[in-house]
Amino acid sequence: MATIKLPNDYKDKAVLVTGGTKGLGLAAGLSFASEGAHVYLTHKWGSADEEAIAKAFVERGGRAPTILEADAAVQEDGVALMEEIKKDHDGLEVLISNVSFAQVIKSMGDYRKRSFFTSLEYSAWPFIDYMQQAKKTLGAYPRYVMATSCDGPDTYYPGYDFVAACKGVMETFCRYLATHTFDDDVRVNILRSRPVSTESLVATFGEEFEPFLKKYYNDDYFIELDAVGDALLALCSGWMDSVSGQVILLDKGVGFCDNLMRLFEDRESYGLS
Amino acid sequence: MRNDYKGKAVLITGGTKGLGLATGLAFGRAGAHVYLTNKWGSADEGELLQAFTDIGAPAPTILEADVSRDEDTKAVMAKIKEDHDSIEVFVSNVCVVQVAEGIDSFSKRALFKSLEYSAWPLVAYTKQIHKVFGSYPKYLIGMSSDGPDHFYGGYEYVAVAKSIMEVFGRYLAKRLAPEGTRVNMVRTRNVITESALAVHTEEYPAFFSKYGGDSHFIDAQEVGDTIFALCSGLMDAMSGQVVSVDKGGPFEDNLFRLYRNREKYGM
Repeated sequence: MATIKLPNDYKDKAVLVTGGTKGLGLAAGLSFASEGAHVYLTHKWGSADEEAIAKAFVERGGRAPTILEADAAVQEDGVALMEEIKKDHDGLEVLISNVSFAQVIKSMGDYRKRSFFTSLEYSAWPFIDYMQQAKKTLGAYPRYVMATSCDGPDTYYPGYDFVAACKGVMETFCRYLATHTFDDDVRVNILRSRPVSTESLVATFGEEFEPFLKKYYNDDYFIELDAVGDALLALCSGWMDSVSGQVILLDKGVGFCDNLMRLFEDRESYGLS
Repeated sequence: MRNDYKGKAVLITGGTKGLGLATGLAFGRAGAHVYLTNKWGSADEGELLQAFTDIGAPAPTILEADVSRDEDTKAVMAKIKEDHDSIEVFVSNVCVVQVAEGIDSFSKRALFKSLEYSAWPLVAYTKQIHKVFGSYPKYLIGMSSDGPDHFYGGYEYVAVAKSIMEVFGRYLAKRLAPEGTRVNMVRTRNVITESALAVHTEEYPAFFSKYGGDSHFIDAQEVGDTIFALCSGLMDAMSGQVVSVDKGGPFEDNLFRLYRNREKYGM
């Protein structure tokens, strides 16, 4: 990316990524860091290997990020975070709401209002809450507000009932927030990605899962983390400032043809009959 | 408020087989005078009439008409005018499948032919109905499929035609609302018909059944009944919509479902 100059200059601009010390969030942080941004990464469980993260940022030619603990569902943590950013910056350029934490559903018995509301508190509401906190503490909304989503609302992922519902809520808010804030020079968009090969994917679906997908699709089934980070950067690059209120899917076209008809067409090569 | 179809004219293109026929039977059961068009003269009229008689429906009128030819469309309207002052329901059902082989064989001609047969008749028939009868049908239905959103081998042209029909459907809904016309589209998954077997080969139903894709197949009657419901009077507040008759199949037709059931399917 460094060879093409973006219209927006991110040098020393504040970029906040929630759930930013792993997976998609970390990839997003790296993409902005390589443009010179001062990236703030939040995490909850204290499991971040800060040294390794700092090293990865420096290797990408960026400055080491500021890593802060914050529970996305606790408002005081959000306030403290904005205060911390305020020490060095007059405003927040980009907010990427990435934390997703929802109950995995095995059967109808797992549908409980309380656990659903907890899922919403972690996976949908922070998108709104952090925007509000940024405005309150820093005096303005971030210029770019983004959230990460998946195609779960439209296609089946085992156990993803609540995740998908939360993403759907967030996507609806995205459309509304875009109308509320466009006149304030704010863009609100959501980036959906298909599964990325991460620790949490293995934790959710088991060890056999990845080999299965590769066997019955190919290596292209997965989206690369860097591709997600780069797409987020593109949405905030200045090239796409007329795009707001949109849900953009990053899936290499896999979702469209992930069905039995594709397997039937290529049944010989997959050894299916 | 439920509609009384006794003696009312219902026109269905490509109505002598498959989905069109099932739709015709659904209206026939309610006493409608059903007009079924077909192009190839392959309809076994005796069998067709028997199917209507079996359910106590009035005998349908079968007309030969190529949906892409304006003269044929005019002749269809003239024939219906002999017995009726208006057409209550028009179902645009004909779909001619041009199978696409690969990008090198894509041709504008095949695309245009696809559109002429599978998208434009919704508009052409509607216009002609208005011209001949002085009024639009109360219900316009476009027969669509989930092809625009889901992969079917070689179905590019069909999918394009369906999406064009759906877009026109939304606009017609807007334009014809003042006339009291409802326009809706019904998307179906595959129905095992002669034409589907011709495109995907005889092996394909067994393959889908083996891998739990039973919901892939929809019974033609389920589609006919859904269309009847849309025209029943119970759903008159709905217009410009695309309704899927798919048993929730496309949502879970993916590798995740197969992975979850991999032992059962021997994968």
